[in-house]
Amino acid sequence: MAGRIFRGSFELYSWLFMRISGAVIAVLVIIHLIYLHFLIGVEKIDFSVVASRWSSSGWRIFDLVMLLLALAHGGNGVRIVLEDYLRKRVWRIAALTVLGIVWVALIVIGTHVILTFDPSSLQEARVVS
Amino acid sequence: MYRGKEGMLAWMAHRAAGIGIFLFLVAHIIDISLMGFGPKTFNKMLHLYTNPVARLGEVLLLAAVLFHALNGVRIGIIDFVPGGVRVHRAMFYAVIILFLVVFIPAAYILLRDIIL
Repeated sequence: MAGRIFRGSFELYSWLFMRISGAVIAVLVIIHLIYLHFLIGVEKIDFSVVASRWSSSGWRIFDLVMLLLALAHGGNGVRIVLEDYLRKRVWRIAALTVLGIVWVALIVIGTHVILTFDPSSLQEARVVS
Repeated sequence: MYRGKEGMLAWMAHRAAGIGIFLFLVAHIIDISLMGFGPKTFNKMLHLYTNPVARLGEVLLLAAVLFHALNGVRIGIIDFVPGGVRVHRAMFYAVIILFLVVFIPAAYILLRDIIL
């Protein structure tokens, strides 16, 4: 295809990755939704709920894996859609550059908060509420 | 299978749902990153999600995630299970039925406190 940015076997690995990551994300997201939206409920979630979850390293790892897989799967999905609709090579490069910058920024922001959050600020939350 | 009826409809809905979920993911990473700014900032921001429009958005997000996941299983069966492609149309209707069976009660549970 004219104006193709990704070459070689990249698309084959992309295809395989979307199916494998999709299956894993489906399981993680179902757990995430049942726990936070059905057992707790959006109107009850606040700082202390998230802070107490993150006092467990198991949930931190769960959230980190879900974050990175979802970003990789979603970022690649948006890339495929952009490449489908943008015909001109310049527009493709421009759009993929913007997507790439946003994508890296989201990985940094998301990973940073999960790994550096200090659970001792839970004390502070109790004082405030 | 991607031209015309069920196959194309499933493909279009899968894309639309995927883009919608990605946009929410962008917002969700930014909102949760506010955990690093302390309880006052975080709780103030999180309060935005409790208004009725956001609660409808939550149900819409559930619909998008549920359809994308179920149709994703359909795609996996088409690609990896021998003969799967021959039943892609039947699987599309299975996706719709499973979607409705899960979505209707789930949406009711999410919205019951603002409906009743």
